Amino acid sequence: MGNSAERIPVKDLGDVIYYKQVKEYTDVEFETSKDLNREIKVGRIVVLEKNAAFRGSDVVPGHTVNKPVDMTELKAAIREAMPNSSIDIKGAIKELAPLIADILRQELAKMPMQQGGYVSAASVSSGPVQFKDVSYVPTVSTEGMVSSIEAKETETSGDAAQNALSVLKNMGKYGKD
Amino acid sequence: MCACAIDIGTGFLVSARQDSNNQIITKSIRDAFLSMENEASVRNMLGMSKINFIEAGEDLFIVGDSAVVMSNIFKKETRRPLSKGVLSPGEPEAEKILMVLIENILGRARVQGEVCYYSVPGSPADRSLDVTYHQAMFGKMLENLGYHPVSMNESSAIVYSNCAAEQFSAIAISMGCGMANVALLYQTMVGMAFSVVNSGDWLDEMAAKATGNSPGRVQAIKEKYLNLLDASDGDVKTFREREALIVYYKSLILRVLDSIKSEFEKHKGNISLPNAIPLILSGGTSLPKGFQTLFEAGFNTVKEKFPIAISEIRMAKSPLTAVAEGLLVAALNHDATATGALK
Repeated sequence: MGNSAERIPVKDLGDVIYYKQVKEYTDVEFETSKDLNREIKVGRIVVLEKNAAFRGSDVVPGHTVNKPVDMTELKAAIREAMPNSSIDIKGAIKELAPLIADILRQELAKMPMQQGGYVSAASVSSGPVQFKDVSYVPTVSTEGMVSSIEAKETETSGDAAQNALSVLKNMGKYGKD
Repeated sequence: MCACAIDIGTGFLVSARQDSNNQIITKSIRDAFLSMENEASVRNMLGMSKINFIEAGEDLFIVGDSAVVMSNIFKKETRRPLSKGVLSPGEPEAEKILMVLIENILGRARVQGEVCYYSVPGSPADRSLDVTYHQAMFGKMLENLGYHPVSMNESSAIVYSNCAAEQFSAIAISMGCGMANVALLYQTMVGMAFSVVNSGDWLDEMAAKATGNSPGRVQAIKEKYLNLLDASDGDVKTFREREALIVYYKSLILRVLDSIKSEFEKHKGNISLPNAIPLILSGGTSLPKGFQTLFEAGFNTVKEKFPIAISEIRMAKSPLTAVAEGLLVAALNHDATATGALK
């Protein structure tokens, strides 16, 4: 969760975290992002939960999803699949990478959560995502707070305010924002 | 007529509202708190002493002036929900405490959708700091109390409360705790508005460092005993602190004047002033004895090269409530079409 009024860029993940914004990261992102870990260390980002049941962060048979993708292996696999292709492998990977990442996320989301596995992802497991749209502003709740406060109160003539309103009226600015 | 205003400052929260007799009622509370354990004996003691406090589960927060008094007794620093003019990022309880304080001094809207003008600082000229989050959060808090919130630059509000005679044309400087805010208005039109980060709190911190004291103690000396024209005026035990404060006050004044010059240079293509305009000084940091004279002395050193013709330098009629009163004028004016406010 963002813990600074300034937006916090996590450059190596191509991400930005705003104040009080809650985000989920996978094992791989959490373990490999230097920017994320640096900001956690200085306290500008706080980890709310390292959830052992976090989806996609457990060991799934046949896949080790918390291991970074080996690009050499991936390139070799593409060449093996398309031995006669003249396409630029590097360019193809670059173009396909976001798509592959999305497909992976969707597939991982479908997988059942497993108990008891080793996990280290930072996540929030409960509650709906809060940043629903661009107009969203967090609500401040004072539930359970009780106050005993007597503020300093003064009373002054309202003539100056009335005079100011009269001048605004004479200037043709009465009733305008 | 139903409209109100609140000045949200680093040092004070000040609300203003017009009553049925046309009088202006202002309420203020210092924007500071001190946390303690919530125990029955402490609550009883605080209740009997009429000390302002907030209970929140296991925590208890002493708020307002009492927090400053208690912090000096216990040699602790008060905590502040705002820092450098905006919501304090390092204070997780800040928003909740502010919400309670705002509800206390402003109350809930008298009718749903009552217009409430609230102050926001200008963007700092000397620091990268965004006020968007601050503005959005206070707007939301006021909405939750039933208001229709409208934000307004705090220095512009000073022109509304102090410059009707000049048809709302002036430069206003609000010397607050967290920032010095500056606005240039010509007939209500804002020519430029910005802030200079570091103001009253900076003075306290710098003078405290120079004299080996705590900022809280220096703040108390500044508010009670400081004469900016004569460091020897007062208790000999606090002479060094007063001397240091005067040195930093001079530095702050020159920095503000320098910022006005450089910001005006940036905007001068858009601003053309036909007449000399007054310069209004306001805010808690302008309260020590001799501030206006010291400011004028600083102004005289840059007068030759100052790009704006100044007709006079004067203090706001009420430096602690000038922003809230100006916001109220704007709020009443906003509400006027619907209600026929002018009597």
